[in-house]
Amino acid sequence: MRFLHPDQIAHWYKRSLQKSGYKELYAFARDFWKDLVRRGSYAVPPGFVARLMERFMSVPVGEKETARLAFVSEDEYLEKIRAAEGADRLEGIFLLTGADRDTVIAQSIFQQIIERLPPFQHDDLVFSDSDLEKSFTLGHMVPGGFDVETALEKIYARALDDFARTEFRFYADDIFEIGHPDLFKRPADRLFYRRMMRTMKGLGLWTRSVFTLKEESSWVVAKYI
Amino acid sequence: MNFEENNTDQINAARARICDYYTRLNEFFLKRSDLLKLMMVAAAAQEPMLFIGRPGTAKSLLVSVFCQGLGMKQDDYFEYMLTKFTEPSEIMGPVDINELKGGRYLRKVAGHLPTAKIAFLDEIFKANSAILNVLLTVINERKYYQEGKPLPVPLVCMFAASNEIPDFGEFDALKDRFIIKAETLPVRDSCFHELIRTGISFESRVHNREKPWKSDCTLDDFVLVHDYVVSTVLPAAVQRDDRVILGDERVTTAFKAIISVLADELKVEITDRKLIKLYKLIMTQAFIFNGGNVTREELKILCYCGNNFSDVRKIKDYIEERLANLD
Repeated sequence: MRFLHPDQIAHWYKRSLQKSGYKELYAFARDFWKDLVRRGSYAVPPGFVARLMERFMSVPVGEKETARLAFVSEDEYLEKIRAAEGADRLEGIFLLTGADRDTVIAQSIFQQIIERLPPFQHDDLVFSDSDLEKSFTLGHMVPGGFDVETALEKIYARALDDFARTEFRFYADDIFEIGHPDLFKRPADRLFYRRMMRTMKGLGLWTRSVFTLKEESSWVVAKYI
Repeated sequence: MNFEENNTDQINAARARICDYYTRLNEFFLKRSDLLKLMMVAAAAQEPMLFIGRPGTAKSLLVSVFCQGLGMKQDDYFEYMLTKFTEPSEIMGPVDINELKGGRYLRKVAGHLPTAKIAFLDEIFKANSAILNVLLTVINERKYYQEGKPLPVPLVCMFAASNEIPDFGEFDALKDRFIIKAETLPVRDSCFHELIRTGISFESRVHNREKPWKSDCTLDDFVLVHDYVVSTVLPAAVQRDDRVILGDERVTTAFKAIISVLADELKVEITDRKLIKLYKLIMTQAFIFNGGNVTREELKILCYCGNNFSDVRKIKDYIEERLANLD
C-alpha cells in the first residue's frame, strides 16, 4: 500500500471538485468531507459530497465553476440515490429538522446517509490525517502519477455495481436513524440498537406478539430529535 | 354546483364573515383559539370534530356558543349526552305510535338528530352498538332510514365530546370518522385570574340572557364556502403537479414527511380516508383563513389527527416542534 503525498491529495481534491462543477467548498462542507475521510472513507469524492449536500440543502455548499461539463457516472449515481426506495423521505427529514439550512444538523444527517450507501472504494486512495491537513496548506497541486479521472470512473463504476447488487434502499429503520442522528451518543449504543431491531425483526417472523420496544419507539421519536 | 363570477363576491363575503366570527369568538374564551379555528374549519369542511378532555374544560360551552353566535334556530341544533343505556329513539326520535297502529314503523324525527344541522353528542364513546350503527350512517353517508328507506339528513357538522378515547375495536370505525380530535386542556394554572374573570362574565351574560357573540355570520356562510371548496377549489388543487399538490413545494414535502413519520414511527394509524380528509381540511383552512395558500399554520391540523388519547398528546408537540423549522 502506498500513501498519497499531500500534493497528490490536493490534486485529487481539486480535480474531483472541478469535475463536479465546484471551484472550492465552503468550510462546513470541506470539514464534513475531511471528517468522512478521517473515519476511513478515503475514496469518497469531495465533489460527490458537495452535490449530495446541495441536493438537500437550501444554502450553497461551495463556490461553483462558471460552467460544468457532464459527469455521467456521478450524475447516474446521484440519480440512483434519488430514485432509491425510501429516498423520497429524505427531503422531508431535512425540512422538518431544519437541516436544509442548518449546516450543523445537516452534517450529522449526511453522515448517516453516507454511512448507509455502499462504501466508496479505490485501492490507491489512502492517505494519513497529517498529509490531508498538509494538502490544504499547499499552494500548488501535482498529479504525481495519480490520474483522478480514471480513479473517479473506477470509484463510481464500483459504487454503481454495489448499489445494484445490494438492491440498495432506505428501510424504515434507516429513515428513523437518519432522521434522529443524535439519538445515540456512542457508536456502541447505535450498534446495540441495530442488533436489537434486527433481532426483533427476526423474531417477528415467527411470532404474533407485539414487542414492547416497538410501542415505546414512538415515544422515543416524539421526544428526541 | 357551478359558481359564476358574480358569486365569488358572495363567497368572499362569506369567507370574511367566518374570519370575523372566529376573531369575535376568541374574545370570549381563554386559550381556545386553536380549537375555535378547528371548529370553523370542521364546519366549513362538513367534517365531524371530537373534543377530548376532563369535565369542565369548556367542551360543550364552545359548541353551544358557536351555534348561538350563528343565530341558529332551536330545531337546527341537537345536543344529547349519551350513556350506555341510551337507545336510538332518544337520538333519532321516538317511534310514531299512531303510524305504528297503521302498521308503519316511522320515527317522529323533528327536534332530533335527523333534522339537526349541527349536532353535539357528549360522551359519544358511551354509545352502544345500536347507536353506533346509526351514527356511522349519519356521519358518513348523511342519511338515516325510515322503514328501510334512506332519507337525507341536513347535518352540516357534528361535534362530539368524550373524557377518553377507548381502545375497543368496536369504536375503531367511529374514531376514524372523527378526523379531528382535539384535547381541551385546563387553563387554570396559566390564566388563574383571567379564568375567574372570564368565567364570571359568562355566568352574568347567561343570567342576563345576553349573547354578545352573536354575529352576522350564519351557517349558510359555512355551507356556501363548503360547496365552493368542494366543487371548485379542491378539484383545481388536485390537478397540480405531485410536488406542489398543496400549492408550495416545501409545504407539500413537509406534509408527506409528517404523514410518513406519523404512520411509520409514531404508529398513528393513517387510513386512506384519513389522508384524503386531512388534505380537504388543510385546503379548507387555507381557503378560509389564508387566501388559499397552505403554510405551516394549515399543516398544524395534522396535530389533531391522532387515533387515541396518547396519540393526541404525543403528536401535537412533535408536529409543532418540527413545523417551527419550516419557515
